[in-house]
Amino acid sequence: MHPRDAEIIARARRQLGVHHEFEDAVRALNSAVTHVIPAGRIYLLGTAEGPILGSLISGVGITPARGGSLLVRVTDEGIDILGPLGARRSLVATQ
Amino acid sequence: MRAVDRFDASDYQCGPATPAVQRLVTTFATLDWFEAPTHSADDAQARFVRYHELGRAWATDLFHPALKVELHTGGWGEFQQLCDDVRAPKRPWDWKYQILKTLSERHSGCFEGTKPTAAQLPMVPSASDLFVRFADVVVWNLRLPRLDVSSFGNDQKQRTTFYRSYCQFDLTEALDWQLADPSCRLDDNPFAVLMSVYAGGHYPFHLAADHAVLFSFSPPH
Repeated sequence: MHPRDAEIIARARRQLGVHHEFEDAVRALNSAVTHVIPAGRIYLLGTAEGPILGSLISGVGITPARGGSLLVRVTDEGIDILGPLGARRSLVATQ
Repeated sequence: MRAVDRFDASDYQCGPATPAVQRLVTTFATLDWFEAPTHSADDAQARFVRYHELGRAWATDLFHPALKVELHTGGWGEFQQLCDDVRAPKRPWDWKYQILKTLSERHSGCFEGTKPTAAQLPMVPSASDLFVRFADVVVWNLRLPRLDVSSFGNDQKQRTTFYRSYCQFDLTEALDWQLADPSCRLDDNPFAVLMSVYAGGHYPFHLAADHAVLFSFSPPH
């Protein structure tokens, strides 16, 4: 992961508990993006079981999961799951 | 290489910025990517210098007073190397994030703008909504047609996907510029001028504050 994405994710994680609502994750991501990047923005990258929101350039984003959010990367081939956003344990993608 | 999906920007409605938004999005969606140039090298160089001057007029401190613009022509190997150069994680100077994002932020700060607030946005977007709301956050919803890169190898696929996203960054900033100031002519919007460089088949790689490369693919033999 690019250091810029890693910094944004680290900042977002610090605002989230293990269990969180997806809306809280969106707010945390937005706060982190606007802190790290001037005129930082979030893009709707696509949809899996729920919306995928994240970076246009890297394709790194978040999507809802049971009890929280998953960190994913959107590529031409599909969606890679990178791990949970707010917790270390595995989450299951869900609506 | 053109997009495989049909695309129609006529549904985008953005108040007074609508004509410019529709034109910019249509231009980007219909580009013929990674082919030999359709504009001359002199034309591309003049457009890039024009973009630089427009940026410099807004943010003198961000744009070098003596920019050197080199023209390179080559194949996929050279293109991929340039992509890797600008993607290197520890670059001391980053064109898009340090310069262009800051330019965009400063410009937006000078206008009241016409971008919708979160409260005005739908929670379930249609394809023609440029923005959508999640929680109380405004999210860009720019659904552009895909390129068919299935015949490419992995390295080539990665670089073309990266570079198109890298350029889509400029499209977003060009749209933001018009939404901030709908009265701006596209010829005076630095990001729209920048888009016209790669629309003609010359691909910018800004490697340092005073050094940019315009890469073009060699014509097929």
